[in-house]
Amino acid sequence: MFGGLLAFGHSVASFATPESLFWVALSTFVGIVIGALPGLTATMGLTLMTTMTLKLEPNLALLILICTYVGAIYGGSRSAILLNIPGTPANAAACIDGHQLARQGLAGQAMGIATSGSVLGTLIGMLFLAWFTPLLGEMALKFGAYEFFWLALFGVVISGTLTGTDPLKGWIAGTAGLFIAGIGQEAQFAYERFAFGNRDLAGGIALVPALVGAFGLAELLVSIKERQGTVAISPFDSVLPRLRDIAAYWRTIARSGVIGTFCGIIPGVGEDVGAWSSYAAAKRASKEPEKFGKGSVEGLMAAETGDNACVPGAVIPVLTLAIPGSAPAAVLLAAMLIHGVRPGPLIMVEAPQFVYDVVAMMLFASLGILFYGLTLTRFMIRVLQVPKTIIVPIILVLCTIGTFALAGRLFDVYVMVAFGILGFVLRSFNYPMAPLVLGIVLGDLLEKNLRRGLVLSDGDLAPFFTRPISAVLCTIIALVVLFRFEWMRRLAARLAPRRRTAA
Amino acid sequence: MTNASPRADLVQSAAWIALGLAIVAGALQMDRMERFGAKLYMAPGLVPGVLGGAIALLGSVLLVRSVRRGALATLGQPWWPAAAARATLARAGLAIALTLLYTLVLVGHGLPFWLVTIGFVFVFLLVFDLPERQAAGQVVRGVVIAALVAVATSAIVTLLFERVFLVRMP
Repeated sequence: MFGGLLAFGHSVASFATPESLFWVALSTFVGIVIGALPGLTATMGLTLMTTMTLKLEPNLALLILICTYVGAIYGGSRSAILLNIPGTPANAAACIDGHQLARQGLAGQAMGIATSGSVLGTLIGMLFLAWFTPLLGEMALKFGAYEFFWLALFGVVISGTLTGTDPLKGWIAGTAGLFIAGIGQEAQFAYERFAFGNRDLAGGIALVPALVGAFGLAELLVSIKERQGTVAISPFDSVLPRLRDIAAYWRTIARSGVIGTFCGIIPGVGEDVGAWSSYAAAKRASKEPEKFGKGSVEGLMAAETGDNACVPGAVIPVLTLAIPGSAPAAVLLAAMLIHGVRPGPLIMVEAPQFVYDVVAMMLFASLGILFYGLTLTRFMIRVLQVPKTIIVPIILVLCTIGTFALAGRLFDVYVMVAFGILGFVLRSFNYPMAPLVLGIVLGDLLEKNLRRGLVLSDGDLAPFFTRPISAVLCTIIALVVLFRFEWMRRLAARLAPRRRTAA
Repeated sequence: MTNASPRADLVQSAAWIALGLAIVAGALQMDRMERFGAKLYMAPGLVPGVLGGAIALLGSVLLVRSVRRGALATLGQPWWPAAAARATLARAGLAIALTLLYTLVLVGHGLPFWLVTIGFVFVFLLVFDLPERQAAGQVVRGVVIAALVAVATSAIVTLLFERVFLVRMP
C-alpha cells in the first residue's frame, strides 16, 4: 500500500516539470479540440499524435498520448451538448440529456456536469488502475467467446431499449447495425458478403464514417428541415461544475465510475459501452427515470463519468495483458511497443514504476480537462449563438474532410453520406440512431465470438446458456426484451400477488 | 399522417420484412465452404442469415402492432403530405441535393478542395440563410456574411487538415 503510494508520488514528481506541464496543457487542449470536432475521434487523434511523438522519450510521448486520449473523450461532450453530435462515439450517450439541457438554455450547467463527471470518472478509473490492475486483469481473462457474444448482444438490446421512445424500433435499428457490421469479407474464409463485387465495400463499412453520417450529417439535415432557431442561453447559467450536483448524485458518480472502469477492462468493449452501460444503470436506479432523455442531470453525469472512467479502465488490460480495452487503447498499446515498453502480465514484476507513471499521467490529464472545462466552456457556448444555417455547412465540410482524413479515400465520404441520409430517414420515422451505431460497433465482436464459441463447442449451443456469466447475461437480455411486452408485464403482475398470498 | 402513425409503421414493417427476407435469401446462397471441411455453423452466411431472420421477425412484430393500432383503417386516407410538411421536406431535399453535389460530384474530382468548399458554403448560405435576411431587409449584409464565412471556413479547414493534421486533401 505505502510502496504503491510512494511509487505514485515519485511518478507525480517526475512529471511536475515545466516541460511536462507544457505538453500536458497542449496535448489535452489538442485532445479536447479533436474530440469536439465531429468526424475526428480519439482513435484518430491518438494515431496522429503517435506519428508526431515518435522522436520524444517514451514517458513524455505516452504522457501526450494519454492526455490526448482523455481530452478527446471529454472534448466529445462539447459537441454532444451544444450540437447534439457526439464528437466521439463515446459521447453518444451524452447527447441524449446533454443536448436537451442545452435546448432548455442550460448549456453551461450541462458542460459543468460533463466536466465534473469526466474529471471524477477519470479519477475513479485511475484509482482502479493503481490498486486493482493485476486483479482485474485476471477477471478479464475469465470472459470467453460465449460471454463476449452475450455482452455484444446485451449492448445492442440495452441501447435499443433505452434510447428513443420505441424499443421495438430500437431493436430493429440495432439488428440492422449488427448486419451492416458484417458486410464485406468475413474473418474466417475472407468470403465477401453483400459486397456486390465492389472492392471498397468488400473491405467492410468503417465505423467512423458511419458514425459521422448517422450522428453528424443526419442531425444537420434534421436541423435544416426543422427550421430550428438558436438555443436560448441563460445569462445566469453558471459554467462552473456545481458541488450540489456532485453531492446530489455521488452515488451515480461512484456507480458510473465503477461501471465505466469495468467496461474499459473488458477487452474490445470501449468507452461507448461504458457510457451507455452507466447511463442505463443510472436510469434503472434513478428516483427520476422519467427525466432521462428530457434533460436529466443524472443521466448526463452518468454518461460522462462512465466514458471517462473507461479510459483508465481500458489501459488496465493494455498494461497487464497487452490486450486493448478499446480502439484508442489499441493505438496506445502500439505506441508503447514502438517506444520499447513491453506491456503484459509481467509488467508489475519487470517495470512496476511504469504502471504508476501511467496512473500519474491520468492524474495530469484529469487536471488538464478540469482546467479547460473551467476556461473553455464559455467559448464553446458561443457556438450555439451562431445561426444553424451558418453552422450546418461548416460542420458538413468538417464531416466530409474528417471522414476523408481517416484513410484518404473517397469511399468513406460516400459511406458517411449514405449513413447520413439513412439516419435522416430513420430518425424521421422514430428510429433511434444509437442502437444502429452500437450494432455496427459490436457486430464484429458478436459474430467472431459466436463463431468461435460454436467452433469450440463443435456446434453445441449449450455453453452459451450454461456457463455462469453467459447464463446471467442471457437471462438479463431475455428479461429486458420480454418485459417490454404488455403480456409479459401482465403475467408478472398476476404472478406477484400469488407469491405474496403464498407467503 | 405523422411519421410514427400506424400506417407509416405498416409501410415500414413491410420494408423491414422484405429486407430481412432478402438478407436470408442472400445468406442461403452464400458458399458454405464445405470443400474446406467447414461445418454448417462455420458457414459465412450463418450470422447474416440469423440477423436477416431477426429483422424480418421484428418487422413482423411491427406489422402486427400497426394493424392492432388501426393501420388498415387509415389506408384509404390521402397519402400526400400537408403544405407545411411539404415545405420542410423541400428544405431537407434541397439540403440533401447540395450535400450530394458537394460530396459526390465536387470533392475529389479534379477541383481544389478549398475552391469547392468556398463554393459549397457560399451557395448553402445563399439558399438557406439569405431568405431570412431578405425578410429582414439585410440582403447585402447576408451576401457579405456568406462570402466571409465561406472563405474563412475553407481557409481554416484546409490549413488545419493540410498543415496541422498532415492530411492529403481530396
